[in-house]
Amino acid sequence: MKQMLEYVHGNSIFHRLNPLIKLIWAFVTCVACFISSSHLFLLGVLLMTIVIAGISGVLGRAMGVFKALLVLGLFLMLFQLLFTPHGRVYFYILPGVPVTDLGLSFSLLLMLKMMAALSPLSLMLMLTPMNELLTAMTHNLRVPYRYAFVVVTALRFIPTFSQEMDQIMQAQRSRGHETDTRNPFKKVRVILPMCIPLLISSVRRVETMAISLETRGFCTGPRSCRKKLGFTLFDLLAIIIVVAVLLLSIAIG
Amino acid sequence: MISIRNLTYRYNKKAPLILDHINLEIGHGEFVALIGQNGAGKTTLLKQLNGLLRPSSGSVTINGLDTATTRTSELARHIGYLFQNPDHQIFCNTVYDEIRFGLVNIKCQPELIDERIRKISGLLGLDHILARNPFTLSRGERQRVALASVLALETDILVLDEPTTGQDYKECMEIMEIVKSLNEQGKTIIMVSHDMEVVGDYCKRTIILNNGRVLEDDETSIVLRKSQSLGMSGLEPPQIIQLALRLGSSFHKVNSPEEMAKTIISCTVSGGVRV
Ligand SMILES: Nc1ncnc2c1ncn2[C@@H]1O[C@H](COP(=O)(O)OP(=O)(O)OP(=O)(O)O)[C@@H](O)[C@H]1O
Ligand SMILES: [Mg+2]
Repeated sequence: MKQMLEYVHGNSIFHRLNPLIKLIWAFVTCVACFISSSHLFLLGVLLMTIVIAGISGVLGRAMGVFKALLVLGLFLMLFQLLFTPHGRVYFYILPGVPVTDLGLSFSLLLMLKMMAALSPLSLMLMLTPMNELLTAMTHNLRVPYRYAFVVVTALRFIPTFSQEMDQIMQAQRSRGHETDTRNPFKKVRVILPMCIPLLISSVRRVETMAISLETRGFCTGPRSCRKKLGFTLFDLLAIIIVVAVLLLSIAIG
Repeated sequence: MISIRNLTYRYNKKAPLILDHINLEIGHGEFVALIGQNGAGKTTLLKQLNGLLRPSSGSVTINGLDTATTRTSELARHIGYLFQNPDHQIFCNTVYDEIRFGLVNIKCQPELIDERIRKISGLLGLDHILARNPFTLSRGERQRVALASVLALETDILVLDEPTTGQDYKECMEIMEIVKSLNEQGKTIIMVSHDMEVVGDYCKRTIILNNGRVLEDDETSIVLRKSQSLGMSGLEPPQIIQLALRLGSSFHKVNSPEEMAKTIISCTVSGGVRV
């Protein structure tokens, strides 16, 4: 989880791309994937994400994300498969639960959809520093700073929470609680009670942060930003590509 | 019995080496201080002892159990681990539950649990706050709650990452007296401290860790006289030893005010002065 959303330092063209474009690209692709019902288009988007990740030197990380999404996707696919009885029956998994051609194609689509829709978002976060994202939102998209801050902070807190969870698990383990069991069912049973301490410590953390923000003058006056975001020729090119993808998806979908 | 062989560790493949070929043997009943500057790798080394972190290469063996293959929850029967930051350790809603947590896990008999909680909370002066929520306690109190939750397990090895931080002088001494008496009962103690006075007064053996390497490892009174090694770690000998060092060779065994007084008297007497 931590790796899915964290910025990876780098200096590739995609790192240097105007964050606004990356934001729009991720958003547009995400929407396009949801609209589209073409396996080919979704595969294309996945391929594009992999190529971009490769060029930006974050392929390793991106593969980790794909793997996580794939596991999730396979689950989704399995459920969808079991609950689509229409179409030509291939065989029965259980008595009365058929696997059909429609079910197969539809569940595959669902899986691809999820993977293709989420991976650009994750890639965008890997390639854009948080403060640039914030600037893009507030200065270019005119999102009020407070709201933009909430979005960015929420994203930035996910790795913190996973660390916190790790911390609590370490504490429990070192006092003999079997959070390190290999049995997945036992693991779920052991991890669930942890949600309460995690929630409490999160609330406390948020409280502390709010105080810390206020003591440092959060939202007391107009903001300036240190780094102006310019548009280059490459940015222009990127916009054209993004628009083309959108049009393509509408055409195919 | 703790045995560390050629231990190296890095947090991930590309990260720098945090522990660099560490070799240590720590026997039953020892009282060891681990000192070194911030970021020297002390916490990282301690976490290797109960399997919270596992060696990148080399091995760590605790009472014959290899940490690479033994789960932390099993090692918990042998090792009690106090975290550097009590807030990383406390997660229950009352002090009572916090201390109880580990006891239930090691399958302590139910009728013994309450008794043990009362005993340990009495020892650490927590009996009047057993029903409180740990998060509303002061920093020093939280530290003692964390310590109580570890001591309650009565393991034969205790690993304490800065047990006295956040304590006032009196509490600090009380905690150290408890730890000392546990050591006298035969428990092995390994603790990190930045307080050289505490180290000098209580620990029998001292290890200086510097940039992930063992710089010194000897009796405390010897290590605390190595001003150069201490200086490399941004540390100074305790004041009594600084004074003894300046007073010259006849003071090389002086480690406490009592010994200082005795030596001064015997020196002056042998020098012909009547006291
Ligand atoms: N989870 C982690 N991931 C990556 N690096 C880490 C992690 N935890 C610690 N480090 C690094 O390992 C090094 C040693 O850290 P460690 O916490 O062991 O130091 P320490 O000797 O306990 O310091 P202190 O006196 O401040 O407690 C530091 O450089 C730190 O940045
Ligand atoms: Mg530390």
